[in-house]
Amino acid sequence: MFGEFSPPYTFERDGLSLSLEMREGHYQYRRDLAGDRVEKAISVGLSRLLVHPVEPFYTGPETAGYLELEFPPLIIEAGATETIFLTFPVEIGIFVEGIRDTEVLDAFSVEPPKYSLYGTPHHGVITRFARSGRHRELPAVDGAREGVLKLTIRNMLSEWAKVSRVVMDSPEMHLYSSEFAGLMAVMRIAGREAAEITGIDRALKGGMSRAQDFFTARRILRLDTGPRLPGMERKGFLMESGFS
Amino acid sequence: MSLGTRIIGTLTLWDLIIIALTIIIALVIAQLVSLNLKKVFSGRVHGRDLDVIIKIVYWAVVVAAAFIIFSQLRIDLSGLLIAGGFASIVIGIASQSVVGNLISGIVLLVERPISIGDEVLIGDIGGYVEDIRILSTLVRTHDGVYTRVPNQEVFTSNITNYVAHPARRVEYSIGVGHVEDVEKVRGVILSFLQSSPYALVRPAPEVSLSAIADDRLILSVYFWTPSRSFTPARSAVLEGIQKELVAAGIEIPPPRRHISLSAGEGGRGPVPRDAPEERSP
Repeated sequence: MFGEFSPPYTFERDGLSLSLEMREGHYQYRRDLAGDRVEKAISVGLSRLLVHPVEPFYTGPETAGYLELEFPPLIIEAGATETIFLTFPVEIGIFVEGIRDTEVLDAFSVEPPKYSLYGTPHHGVITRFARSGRHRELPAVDGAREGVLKLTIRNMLSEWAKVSRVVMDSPEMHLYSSEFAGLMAVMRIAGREAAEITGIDRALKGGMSRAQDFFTARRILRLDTGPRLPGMERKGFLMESGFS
Repeated sequence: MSLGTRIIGTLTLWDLIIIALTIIIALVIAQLVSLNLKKVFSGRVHGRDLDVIIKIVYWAVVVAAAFIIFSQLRIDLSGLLIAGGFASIVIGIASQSVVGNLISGIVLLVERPISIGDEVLIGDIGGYVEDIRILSTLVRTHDGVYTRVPNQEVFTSNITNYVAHPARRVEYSIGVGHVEDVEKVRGVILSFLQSSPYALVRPAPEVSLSAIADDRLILSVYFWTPSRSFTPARSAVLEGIQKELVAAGIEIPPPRRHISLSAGEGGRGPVPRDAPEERSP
């Protein structure tokens, strides 16, 4: 369902219906989902409609900036490295591409959101929470609901470590998409209760392209922190309240 | 020419060097302090307020340097100091509330118990912080009223910041009929909380039987919600629980009051249906 489309556009599946049609001199965007209808009129300057997966932070009552995934525990030997695949909830962003720039038209989530607190009520962070299976290979997912995170876990300790949680900060999430959204990250276990999560700005498989950024602010942030090269890593989020 | 050589009147070359160094060092210190104040308070204090603070500090450094120079020039400032002392007392008494507010404002900006946008209770004023200025804090009360609170009052009042921590706990007491299965009721409520976006997964929600009242069982429900969603969460979740309990056929009994009616003095009053019938001998 993801990609760039020229109007008229229609999409229907599992109770989700999207359409963009010319009506009364304007493009009319319509989204129907679980009894909810959103309609918007757009001027004729529109050239393309972009349908992309976006990070799961833009709909729902709470604006969390972190994604927390809980998965069946994995016990890793001292000094070992493991790669696993997890699924995470995605939202769908609808963008209109005009002559000069791109604007957000709509964002929605097929699955209802759930939130959690990572850390203590005094010093923790609110996270967008989801439970995931732990897969050794790329799992098949419904792209409208879930994306796939390829997580490389490095146990830097001199003892075994049990891992069943990962928390990612939104700037660490570099979404790529094809028929589903993909993310890559590295988790370095640096202490009994501490691990650093760093996102990797690279597609997890061939044929994926960079998903559209939801907020211009994020683009500004990237400009401020210098050019970002594909595959480049930067210092990530520190999970200080445990990972199991 | 030695350092003790007199150049102008009684002023020696050493005096002139000291004066020149004092001027240079004072200007450098004033500039450095101004720059650092700008760095530290930029974004925390309004541009106009920040300019005033920087100017006050800058001129305080310049005045201190001037006193050193005057002493080097052997100008007797004792008369000026006495007059200045009296003037300071008068000005101090007249402007103590302004100075108090100013100092309180600076302390608030450094300590930061509240930030713009926070939902707070300052003394008995509750609302959202609109702005923190150098002399006062602006609060928009819950009913939309603009309220200016002097910083000294903010500083000396009890401050409750409802959103300083990321999460808050919501509590309800829910009464159900005596005949209801507590396990079933707990299951219905927990199931709803697990699906509600307002109830956090961690810390986990709790439902427990807290009392057996005359006409109902009282269950205590606890869940955590993001602090900024507290108000909508409290009503939305309660409404959801009520709907789920009704849908599951669980009785939420209305308040009951047992009234016994008896005969009044000098006449027969109404007799309750379950009261024993009175018989004449």
